Amino acid sequence: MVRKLGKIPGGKVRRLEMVFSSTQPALRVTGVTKRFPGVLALDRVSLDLYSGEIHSLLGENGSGKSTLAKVIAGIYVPDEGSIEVLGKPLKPVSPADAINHGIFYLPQSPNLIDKLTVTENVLLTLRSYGVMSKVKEVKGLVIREAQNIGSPIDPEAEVGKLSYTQKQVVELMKASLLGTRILLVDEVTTYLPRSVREKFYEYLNRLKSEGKAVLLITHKIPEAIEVADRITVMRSGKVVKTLERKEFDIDLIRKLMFENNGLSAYTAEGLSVEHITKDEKAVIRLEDVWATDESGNYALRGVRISVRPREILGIVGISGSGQRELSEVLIGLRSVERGRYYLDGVDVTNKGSKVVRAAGVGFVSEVPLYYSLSGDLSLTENMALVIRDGGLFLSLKSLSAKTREIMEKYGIVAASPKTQAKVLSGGNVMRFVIARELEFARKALIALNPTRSLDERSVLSFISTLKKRVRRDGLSVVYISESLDEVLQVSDVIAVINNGKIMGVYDRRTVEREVLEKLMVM
Amino acid sequence: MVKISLVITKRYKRTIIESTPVILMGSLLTGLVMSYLIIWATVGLDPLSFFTTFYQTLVSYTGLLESLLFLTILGTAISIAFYGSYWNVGAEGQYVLGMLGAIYVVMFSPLSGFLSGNDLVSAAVLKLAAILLGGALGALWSLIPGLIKVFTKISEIPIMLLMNYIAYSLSDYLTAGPWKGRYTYGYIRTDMISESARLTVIPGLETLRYEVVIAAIVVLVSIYLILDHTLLGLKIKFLGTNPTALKSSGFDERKVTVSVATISGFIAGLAGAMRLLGYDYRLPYNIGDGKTGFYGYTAILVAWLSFRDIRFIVPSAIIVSALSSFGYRIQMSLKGLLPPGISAYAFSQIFIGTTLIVYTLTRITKEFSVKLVIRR
Repeated sequence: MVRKLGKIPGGKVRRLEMVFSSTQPALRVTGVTKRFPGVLALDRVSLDLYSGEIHSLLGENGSGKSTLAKVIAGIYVPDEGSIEVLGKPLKPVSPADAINHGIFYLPQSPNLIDKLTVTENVLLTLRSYGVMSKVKEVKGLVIREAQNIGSPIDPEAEVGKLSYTQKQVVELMKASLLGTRILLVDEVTTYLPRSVREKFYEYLNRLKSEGKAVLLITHKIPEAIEVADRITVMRSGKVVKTLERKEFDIDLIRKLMFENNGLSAYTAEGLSVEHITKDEKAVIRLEDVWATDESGNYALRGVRISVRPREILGIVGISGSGQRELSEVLIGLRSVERGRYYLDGVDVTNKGSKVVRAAGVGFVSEVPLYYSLSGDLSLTENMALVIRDGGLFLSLKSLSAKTREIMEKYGIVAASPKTQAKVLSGGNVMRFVIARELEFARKALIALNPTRSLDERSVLSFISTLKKRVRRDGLSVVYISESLDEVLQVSDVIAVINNGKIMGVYDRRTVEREVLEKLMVM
Repeated sequence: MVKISLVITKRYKRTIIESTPVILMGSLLTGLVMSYLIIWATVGLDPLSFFTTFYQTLVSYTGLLESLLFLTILGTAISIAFYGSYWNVGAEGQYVLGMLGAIYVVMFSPLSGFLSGNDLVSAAVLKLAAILLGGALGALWSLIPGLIKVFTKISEIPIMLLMNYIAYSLSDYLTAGPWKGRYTYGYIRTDMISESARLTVIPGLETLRYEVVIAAIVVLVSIYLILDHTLLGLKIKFLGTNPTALKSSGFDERKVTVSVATISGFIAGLAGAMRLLGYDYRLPYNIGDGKTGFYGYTAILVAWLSFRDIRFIVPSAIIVSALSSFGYRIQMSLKGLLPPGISAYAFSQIFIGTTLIVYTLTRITKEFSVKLVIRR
């Protein structure tokens, strides 16, 4: 098949290229197996990726998607099986090998050095692979590439000060400048706001039209359907099926992803809005709270919220509206400049996390390895930090048994309680923290974008457990999220946060979606 | 302007050599071969006498055991601090403070008057009090930079290095002033402590003292137990690996830092007190002139070699004490071979140097990749 390549935005036809996509895949993975201690991460996985296609790799948390991408990118060495690039066998033993064969891995968390500028980061990568070395030249390239990607970036800006989206743009620049033919995108879009995500898809489509191959790894079914030409579904380390575009069907895909995993059991129960007794006293109350961010600017400006027992307060807003600071104030990590924080009627303003935790407040955040866990320590130790029986002495045996019990209860996949937390997949780390905090919380739970790295089933299971705890134990929940859909699904009362201010508080049953959307962006 | 920066990033992929014992032994062997090559190239020492000396060092273990015990105690003190990201480079000063505390109790305190009798009980009480006060002063010496770190966020490292010199000066001031001895044949130093206050020599192993052996075992075992079986140990490990998780779980990281500083300083002070009661028996003048044996500094190497793994303290202490003792022995073989102006002492340090360089490089490349970036 001869494919004529599309136009680039300038309107000029760039070049014509013949792509024999049907005969020879750009990338062929055959029978790849990868074992980790106690886990079979990939079980004889085979996959073909053609030039000029966007191929989505879909599966729930821990199904082996990222592992496969990392094997292709030379980060992991497979135990068995082979990889071919354009018909030639490739045995990548390092990321550099893969990059030299035109393969670039775009990780979920950008692999950049915060202290260096954009140009320096790009330069460092190029220099590592012996491409070029002149600062001026690279600066020009950075400006050009940024425009090309459609997201202008100051080449002199320190990477640490960039937003998540901008960091991913820098990663894309690196990919483009290294002459990437095969781009592996690992859950990158999960974190992006809708508008940026669409721009990103546009860019992927452009790559596709230039004859490049894109492997888009995601656990979100709608995303895969929206942008992919083909979808390969993975489950428990195996490829279940590869679907052509005409075969796409959300129910079929869901079945392939979660078969025998009881998805329907979760959807059916516990998702209805709970009845609230009006006269109960607030468990969490913030009064006119002002707090600054790291650079000394006000991130919270007079926040006023209150949450009653058996109530879920959803706080929704676009990314960077003060959500992180708000959650830190609520758990006692960040001190406030002005205003008061009452927990169960007691003034706990600037009393620190000890008082808040002692009252039985749980905390789940979007970055568990930053806020909640130590990656270098075992799961038992990470559990024991929050949940333990005794006083000054720890009984490792009983803690380990307790950890195992909680892991089984919440279906966390890990070799043993002795496993280091950082070895777990992103979804499992998140579920581990959720399990720990749900077990711990007696009075309230603070959740900051808790479902970001979770697949559909884990999200439903989390929300349903949360609702059960709210109903059964009278837990109060502050549910902070960037996803309006999720907040609408979870909350009893909804508040909109914008630029550090609470723009309005609404009853879930009566509020119009448009009203909330308007407040989020105004 | 040219600006050069070293960029260190955590490795994605593991390197071939993984196990700490292999890295330790490998560094030791490579270090030995490298240092021999250096000595051979500069002064032409024959391999036979080089390796015979090394063999003799290992065989004459009694000499090794003495430094091994002190390096184990001090290495554990520094290691527990490293666990909690408290970079205790002040063990040397804490060790000197321990010496001061011990000599004060047995010579100048009211207690020494009450308990000067030669009966076993009062001697034991006196020794115990001396060791405990030594530990307490060591803890105090470590607590000062600890509190400064906690309340002002100023790094403990430079403060501790300075405080080591203050400790030396304090000791010299006391030795030349209020504590100056009467029976010293004109030397500036303190008098010897009484026989009854000295630690007990182990018969047959003249370089060892019962109390020091017991202390080394107790310290090592209790630190191991603290780290793995107490809430404090868990907090220390979180402090060293993710202080934010510690804070968000309801703990005050400042309190944990203070605890770590106290424990670490206490153990270092303990070692100093035992050194005085068991070996030195008096304080010399110019104590900073190598008269402490620089144990407090050498023990940093022990802690560094065992990097946050208490199980490797003893093997590391063996390596470090073997290498330093080997260094002193090789000085003899080098006599007459050295060109003028080069001291045998410099050569004696080659072994520790090369071994540590090899070890450090392996350690670093195991976990990080290092790149040099030049900005113009």
